[in-house]
Amino acid sequence: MRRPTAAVVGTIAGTALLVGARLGTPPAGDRAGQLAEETAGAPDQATPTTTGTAAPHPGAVSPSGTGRPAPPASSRTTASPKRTATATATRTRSSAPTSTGLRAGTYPGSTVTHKYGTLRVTITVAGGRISAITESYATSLPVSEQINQDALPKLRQEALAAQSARIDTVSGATYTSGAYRTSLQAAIDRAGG
Amino acid sequence: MAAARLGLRRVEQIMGTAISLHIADPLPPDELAALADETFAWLREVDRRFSTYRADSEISRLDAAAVDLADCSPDVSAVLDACAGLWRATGGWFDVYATGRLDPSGYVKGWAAQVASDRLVAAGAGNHCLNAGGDLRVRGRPASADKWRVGVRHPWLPDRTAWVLEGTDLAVATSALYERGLHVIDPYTGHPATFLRSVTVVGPDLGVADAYATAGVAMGEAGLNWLATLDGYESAAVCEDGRAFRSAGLPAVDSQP
Repeated sequence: MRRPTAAVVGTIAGTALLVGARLGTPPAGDRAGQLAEETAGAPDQATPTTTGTAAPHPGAVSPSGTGRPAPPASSRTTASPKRTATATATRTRSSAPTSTGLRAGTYPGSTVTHKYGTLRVTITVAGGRISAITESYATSLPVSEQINQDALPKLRQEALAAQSARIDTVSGATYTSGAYRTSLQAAIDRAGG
Repeated sequence: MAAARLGLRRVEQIMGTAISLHIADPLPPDELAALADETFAWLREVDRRFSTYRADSEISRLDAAAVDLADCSPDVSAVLDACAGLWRATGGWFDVYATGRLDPSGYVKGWAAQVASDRLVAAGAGNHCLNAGGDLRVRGRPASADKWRVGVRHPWLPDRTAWVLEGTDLAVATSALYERGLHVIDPYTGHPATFLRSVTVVGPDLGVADAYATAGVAMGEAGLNWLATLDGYESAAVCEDGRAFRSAGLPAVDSQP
């Protein structure tokens, strides 16, 4: 048992990675018990294990930590950025550790409040692996679930212009000192007004 | 016109590129010269401390573990802290280790110019344009108009603009592939990003705009949606296939002059 399937991980990138980092423990009962022990308790403390997600939303909670991001298990080309959620799994019921890794059970994460409501992620473990990840949105506004799913602003497409407008300065890719000499910016600097 | 003779313009080669300073305030010439001297001295200092092309820069020595972070200048800590925050804010797409070694240059140039611009304002030169090799900060207005007019370089035609932005308090940063080739690395694959040819970000802080533009290019197609979600920052992007996109609030002048 190693990482959860990409399809499962892809549903909630941040939390899945968080838990995913704890998977891959060697098949040993003690380690599995230890793992479940680790995830229980301290519900208010974020547990940043992996870093980096494919869900760059500035308003959402991101995993903390300054190390390098681990490559995501799922594809990152999505139509809209996913929310990240830092969740601490809290054990609600347990059973005997399996020989392959995680202790079976349902682990509700903490509730994350973001711009359009609150999000709670719940992870179900069975057979030593994550068998389900569910998201639930809880808000007082009936339309907010729709907002959660599809309210993000988009860039608007337009024709690419090619103007010779009067300008004071140019923003572009960093030119080398040599390339500067023949650049539009150099022409402006020479003209001096 | 007499107004065209006031103020100061100076260009110096620092950080491997050309830094263009235009101060429009009608201050005495020796004062303007002193402000320009200080501005360029600061940028040279930043280059000495942060250049990845200098083996003796603090950043290079830090990366080689020849020095501890605690023994580096406070600016180094501040920059690396800011980069860590931007790594989080961009979901890992702005990553100073994307190339395999420590390289904060996607933030440093913008940050340095932002600091320089802030100092000019504090010193009484609140009307200026500081362009650090394509990442720029405008404050106030030029002598001959109410707002600064900033062209966004066309991604294929070097002497044309794709957009003209207008403003009195703008940071404008562009990350693009038409000068240094495929130099923006996808931190998740280690391969060069290729989908977006040019990303321009506009907002209040040039270091942040610089990092966001870099992250946008690194993300490829997903960057188009991500850029639209930035709070307080507008953007414009051009795909390698020629499609152009802009945010709703981009301060662009839509008509020809």
